[in-house]
Amino acid sequence: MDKLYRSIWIFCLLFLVTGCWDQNEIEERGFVIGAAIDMVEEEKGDSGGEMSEKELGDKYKLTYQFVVPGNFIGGSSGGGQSGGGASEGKPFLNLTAEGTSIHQITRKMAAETSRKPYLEHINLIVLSEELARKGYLKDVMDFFVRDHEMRRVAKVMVAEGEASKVLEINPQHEKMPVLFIDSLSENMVKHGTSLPPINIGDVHSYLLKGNSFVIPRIVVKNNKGAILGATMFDSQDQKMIGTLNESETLGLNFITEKVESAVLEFLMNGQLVAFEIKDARSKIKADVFDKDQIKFTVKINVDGNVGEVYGDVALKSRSVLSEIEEKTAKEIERIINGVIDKVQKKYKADVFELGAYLKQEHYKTWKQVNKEWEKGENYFSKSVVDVQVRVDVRQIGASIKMVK
Amino acid sequence: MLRHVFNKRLKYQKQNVEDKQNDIPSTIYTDIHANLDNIKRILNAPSDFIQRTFTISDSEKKCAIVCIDGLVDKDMINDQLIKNIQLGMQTAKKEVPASSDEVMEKLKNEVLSTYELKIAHILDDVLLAILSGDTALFINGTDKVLLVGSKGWASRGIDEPQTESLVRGPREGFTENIRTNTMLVRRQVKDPNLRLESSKVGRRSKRDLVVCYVEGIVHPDIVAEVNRRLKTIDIDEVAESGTIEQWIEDSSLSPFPQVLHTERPDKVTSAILQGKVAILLDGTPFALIAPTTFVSLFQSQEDYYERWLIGSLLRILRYVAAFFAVFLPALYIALVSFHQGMIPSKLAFSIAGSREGVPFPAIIEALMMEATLELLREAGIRLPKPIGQTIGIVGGLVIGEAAVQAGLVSPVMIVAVAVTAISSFAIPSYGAGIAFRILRFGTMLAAGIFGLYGIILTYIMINIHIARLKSFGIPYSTPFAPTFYRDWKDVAIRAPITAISKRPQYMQTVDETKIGKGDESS
Repeated sequence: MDKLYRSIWIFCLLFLVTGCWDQNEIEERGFVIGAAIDMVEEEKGDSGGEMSEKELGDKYKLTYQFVVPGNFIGGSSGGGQSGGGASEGKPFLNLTAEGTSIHQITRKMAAETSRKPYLEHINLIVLSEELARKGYLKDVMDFFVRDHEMRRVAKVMVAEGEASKVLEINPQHEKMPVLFIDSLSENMVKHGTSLPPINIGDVHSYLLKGNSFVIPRIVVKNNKGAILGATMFDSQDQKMIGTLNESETLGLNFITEKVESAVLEFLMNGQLVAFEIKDARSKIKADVFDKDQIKFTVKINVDGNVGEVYGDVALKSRSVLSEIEEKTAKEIERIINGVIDKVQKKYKADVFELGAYLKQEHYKTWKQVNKEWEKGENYFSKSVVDVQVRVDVRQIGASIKMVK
Repeated sequence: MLRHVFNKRLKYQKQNVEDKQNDIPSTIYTDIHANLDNIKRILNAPSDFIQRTFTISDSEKKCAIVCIDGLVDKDMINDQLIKNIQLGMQTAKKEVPASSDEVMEKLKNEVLSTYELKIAHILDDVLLAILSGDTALFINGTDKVLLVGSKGWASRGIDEPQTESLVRGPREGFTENIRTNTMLVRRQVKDPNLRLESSKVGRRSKRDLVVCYVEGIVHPDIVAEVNRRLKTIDIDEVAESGTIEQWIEDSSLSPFPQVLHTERPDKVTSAILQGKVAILLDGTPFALIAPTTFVSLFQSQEDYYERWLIGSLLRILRYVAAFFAVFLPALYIALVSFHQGMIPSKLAFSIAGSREGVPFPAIIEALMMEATLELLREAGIRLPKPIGQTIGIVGGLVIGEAAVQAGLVSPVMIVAVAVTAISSFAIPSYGAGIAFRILRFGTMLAAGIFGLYGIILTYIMINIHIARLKSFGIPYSTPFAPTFYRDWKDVAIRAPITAISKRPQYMQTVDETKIGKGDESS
């Protein structure tokens, strides 16, 4: 019995031995809410790494946006706390450090701030255009995909120009730039002219699949952020090859069935009509008879309402509504054809995921064209995309016409 | 280790059963004075001891009554006993027999008009009767004693139960008087099969104890087991039913109550009609119900009185409350100290902000607040009622607010502690509430050392313990662990009354039918 008691005692003591090795109180964490990654000009490179200089010519400049929790909760129950020194009253703090790998820079930053960077609440990763064009996306993303302290839901964007500028914008309605951009990107989906948010997980799967892909593009204007268009990456070395503007992005969203709602404007009898799209479904069919000229038929069904009508357009008769439907369809076709033309001719990157469709539905053909889909023979550019749009007006609103 | 402690106790019990105290002479003399002297000597002639000697009617037969003042009904002794003995023989126009034995027979059968009469042959019985409030009648020349039931002492009236008040339901509660209590039970169950088995318990206190069940419903083995365990009780004083509970329970190391206690007669009747056994003890309003299962800790009588929808909702709410009462502070500690990534971003920032300047780790903070809470609760009970409430307000509001202001704890912690406290009050069984309070500290420590992993570990440990526990042969985790799907109608949801047509299957009742087929004629 003595032995039993003794072993129980020793067993209990084991609990003390473990300590609380990964205990870290919440207020001691440096919550990183957003990250921006830029390139550093070569000549500036400090004397830090001797071997890294030749191996990895470029260096990254990493900016983390830290939350200052004391200021985050506002004026309530402040007491006598003195938060994050440098930024008085601001709920966030941007810290920048340079280095050769993201992990190393993160560690470096721990030495600069009293709180160790904690990445589990990261919401946004912004990459600079320069970095994207040089093809470092895959290298940079590795850390964010690999690290265990990471959420896959963090949104990834490419900034026009310098990425760190994005983290310095003046947020409206929100306390922090990152949260502002976060909700902005959710809202922009309603507009149709922006890509739906892409997160780390999506980027990882794009990189693994080896397709061409698009990532939302953010443009900072007058210290105010706006998410505009898309950034295209090619399939070969995941380099940024170009951008799509708002209307081109809308066309892309129509094909990939990502339009939740959008507003189209066109003239009818010289008067402006705004058509509100409520729902858009697309269906792709392929005719693979001739692999040198694969014919895709994209059928798009659009439901929507008449949002705004100027002048004396009366929505009384079926013929007027038909005309609206026709004009809307024409407008959508124009937009889509525009983007198809640009992508096929100029960039030769299949961001419509037509290749993925072929792989699913016409595997035999896909095996033949697979190798030279976007290069060499370039079957993608040779293929014909026929767009057919059908529009249905669901509601005309509470008025038939405004003036007599 | 468990078995070791338990065995020790059993051995201890056996030893005590063997040695009996035998300093009281158990003989009754034929001489009345010898008897009186003897009793006086044994009781040491206390101030409340009353003896009165007189003669029967005209005869020269001497007799004496002995009783304890305060325990007896004085009017009854005057009017029924002394008056009848002195005058009754005359009015009955009967000769007083020569033999004392015959006198006693005659008194018993023809003269005395009290309903509780008994002839005793042993002095022990006489003494016990006197000390229980009966009156002993000695007649010179016989070694028999007539015991007249004359119990009548001041007692509390029937009140609303203090610990288990309901919005809807009978307002009667048990009292300290066991006769009142048995009356309350009998009045609700007029079944001739209702059994009230009396016995005495306590070597010196000799309390009345009644085992109460319905024959023909309860499984006989359960009654046998309850009686067997009750027989092993050999302790000089049984102060409260708690003593019995602790003596007969299965595992004294478990935090969970294996015998339920209640002040409500309706709870007792519904339990015995489910095939359980109730134990009533004189001197306490708390009756015991055995066996008990884990799910019955969450059942309130009111569930059955209200309509089934609200009954079911309240049941589910109580399970949630139990979860909070055990795990909420632990979850707070684990999330704040280890797994900040699991908190929604904005909440994480505001918790971090509110904890800024708090000098203690979350575990210390939580332990501190929980200890304060327990202190407040304890102080509130001890103090007189009006002050007790003030303490609650002062403690809850002022200390909480001041602690936040002083930067000792974070406001979120206060919220967590408050929710925990309210949750632990929402559990109908007080004993279960205590169990959850104890377990809470365990989970908090585990969370402080291991984080969520510790919480999961303690959760599993609690479950293993419950699955292993038994109460009078009935598994504690039934109807889940030995699965009885039929009984699930009355667990998390309380099905409509008409849908619960059978008694609980896990009780293995003799008569299972609760709802008959219905009489066509009615």
